[in-house]
Amino acid sequence: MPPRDNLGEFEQLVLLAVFRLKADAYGMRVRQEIETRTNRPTSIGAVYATLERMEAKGLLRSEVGESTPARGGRPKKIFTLTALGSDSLRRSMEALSKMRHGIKMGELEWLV
Amino acid sequence: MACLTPPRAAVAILRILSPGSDLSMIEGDLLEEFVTIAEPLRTAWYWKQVLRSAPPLLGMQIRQPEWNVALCTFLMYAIPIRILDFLWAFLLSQVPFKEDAIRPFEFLVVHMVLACACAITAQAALSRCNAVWLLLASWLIVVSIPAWLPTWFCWMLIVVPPACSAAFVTLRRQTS
Repeated sequence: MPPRDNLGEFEQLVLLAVFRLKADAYGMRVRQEIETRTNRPTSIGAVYATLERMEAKGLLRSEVGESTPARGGRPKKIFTLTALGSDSLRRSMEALSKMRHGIKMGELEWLV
Repeated sequence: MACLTPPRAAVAILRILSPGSDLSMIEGDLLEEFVTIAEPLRTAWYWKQVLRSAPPLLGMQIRQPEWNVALCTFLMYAIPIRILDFLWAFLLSQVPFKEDAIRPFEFLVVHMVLACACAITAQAALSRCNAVWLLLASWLIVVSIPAWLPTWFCWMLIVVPPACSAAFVTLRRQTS
């Protein structure tokens, strides 16, 4: 049975960024990935709040990573997708893809 | 030589806003990116990040168990006081020649201040044990208790709500 909670847009972006970054998925890199790819200004606080919320839902898990001099000796928090997270993301993208089916990007121009 | 230290005031705000468990990671992330940004934009970028992060970080902090204690304490204190206030007003309205007698507004204000002080004390005692908050809360309690309130009543108000809310949160943690 599908879970009641659907992913929000920003949650999808964060999960996709974590998936893309693999072992390098920590707060700052996730923020940069979203900002660079979507051209959407993103704050580190928003990223951490979303990562924490999704970790609590069981979509992500975290572990404490290395601390480097560039970070003032502070550790990283590395996130990875869980099986539930992957499944949630896949279903969410499938739903979006089904809704988009048959619509050409040019047809959306009248909305702008 | 370029300054590689983030603005102190912004770091202080970040430390107040961030939940204790993630603070060092968030600080590290911001510092790592801060040093890569060109000099004239660096400070403004850091401030922008901290200010835009304030609402989500505050939300994160409120979701922490210690803030549940603070909220529970406040509600367990404030709701009964408000109900008593209504009840008292109703009783007085039924007594001949006392219909117009109302409890002074200061009574409610003092109790709301006490409720906030209790909530902050409970939160501070159960979280990072922030001495500044504890001192401020203790001072507020001492200065806001008027002499006309019986001592046993004051102690009951100060001790019972935090104790009950801490017990409630502990119980909830065990059952979840």
